[in-house]
Amino acid sequence: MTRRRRLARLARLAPLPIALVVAGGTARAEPSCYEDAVVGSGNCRFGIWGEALEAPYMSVTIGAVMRVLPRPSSSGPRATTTRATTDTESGGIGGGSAPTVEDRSWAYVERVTVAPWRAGYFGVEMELGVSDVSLSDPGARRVIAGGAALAGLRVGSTWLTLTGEIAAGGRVMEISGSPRYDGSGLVELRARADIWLGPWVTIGGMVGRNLLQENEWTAGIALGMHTWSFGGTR
Amino acid sequence: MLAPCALVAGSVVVGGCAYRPGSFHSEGDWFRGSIATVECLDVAIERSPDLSDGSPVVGYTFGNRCNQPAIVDLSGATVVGHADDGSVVPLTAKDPFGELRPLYLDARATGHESISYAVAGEVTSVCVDVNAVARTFGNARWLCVAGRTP
Repeated sequence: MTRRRRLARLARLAPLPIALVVAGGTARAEPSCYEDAVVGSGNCRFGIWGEALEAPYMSVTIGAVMRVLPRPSSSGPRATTTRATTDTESGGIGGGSAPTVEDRSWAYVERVTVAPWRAGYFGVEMELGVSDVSLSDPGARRVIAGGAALAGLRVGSTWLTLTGEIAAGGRVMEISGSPRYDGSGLVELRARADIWLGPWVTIGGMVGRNLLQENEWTAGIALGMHTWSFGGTR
Repeated sequence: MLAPCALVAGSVVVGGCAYRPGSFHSEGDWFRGSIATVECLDVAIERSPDLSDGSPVVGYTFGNRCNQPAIVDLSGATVVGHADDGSVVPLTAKDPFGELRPLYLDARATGHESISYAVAGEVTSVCVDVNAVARTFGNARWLCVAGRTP
């Protein structure tokens, strides 16, 4: 087998070993049966090209999310690195409502999902904060790390997959003040849309809302790698 | 001009390019020998060098033209050889570990296998019913390759 052929095959099958490694699986190292390795010769394994579809559909997604975290009302003046908006819903013009102060926290997110059946999936995700929110302002918050289990339903075609999901977990936040760190729960409803760049790669966006924290919402983008072409949703 | 999927660097690196229907070419698999299209499958067969015991070897390369999985049945394919005297002899796949089985090839994916066949005597050419490979039953569609010895 030529070096070029080996590299090309490795590149095309990349999503599968990534998913298997993440899921804790192991893959045998035998090559596929090419002309220099005939089926039954002991030098190769039959059917490597069909193994992806014999395992449940998996995907690995990496991306970035922005969380908009409303600051508690007792936190003092708004910071220069946060955004203030007027709560027109509760007060409106002349209503005398206090400005809603928000912190924007950015995080790197990685998620792994497994689909036992065509329309539904389960998964886990973790996030690591990369926020530059200034914590010199009283009450300013940012996400340090978090994790969640998730489940969702999806429909799709060869160019677009739409998903609704719910995620539940927790996170650690850094706060300007005392105590310095705090933990909180997360139950988030999300909507996702992914466009297929190729049979095994997607790019997409999501929006979500935390059901445990009023006015907290999130948005993000992600690159996905999939073991079944077009997610098997055709 | 670059292939469309090659324009997306990330796709090439992590996901590879999809098989283009009718191209009989992919980055990893060379479609050599005789070619045919059977429903969702583009199939090529070639005669590889015989094994040391004289067993003929056939290389199969296949690509899925469709956006849904397609079955590839190399275990159920009917394969025959033509002897020097013109007689037709059935060939049986050598499968000492019982590996051969029908498998689904993912949408727009390719694959390759080399299979040796048990035969009494020598055969000058080998023919495969590619309709059976794709499980498109009905009239046989023979794809043949000439002899090739080490």
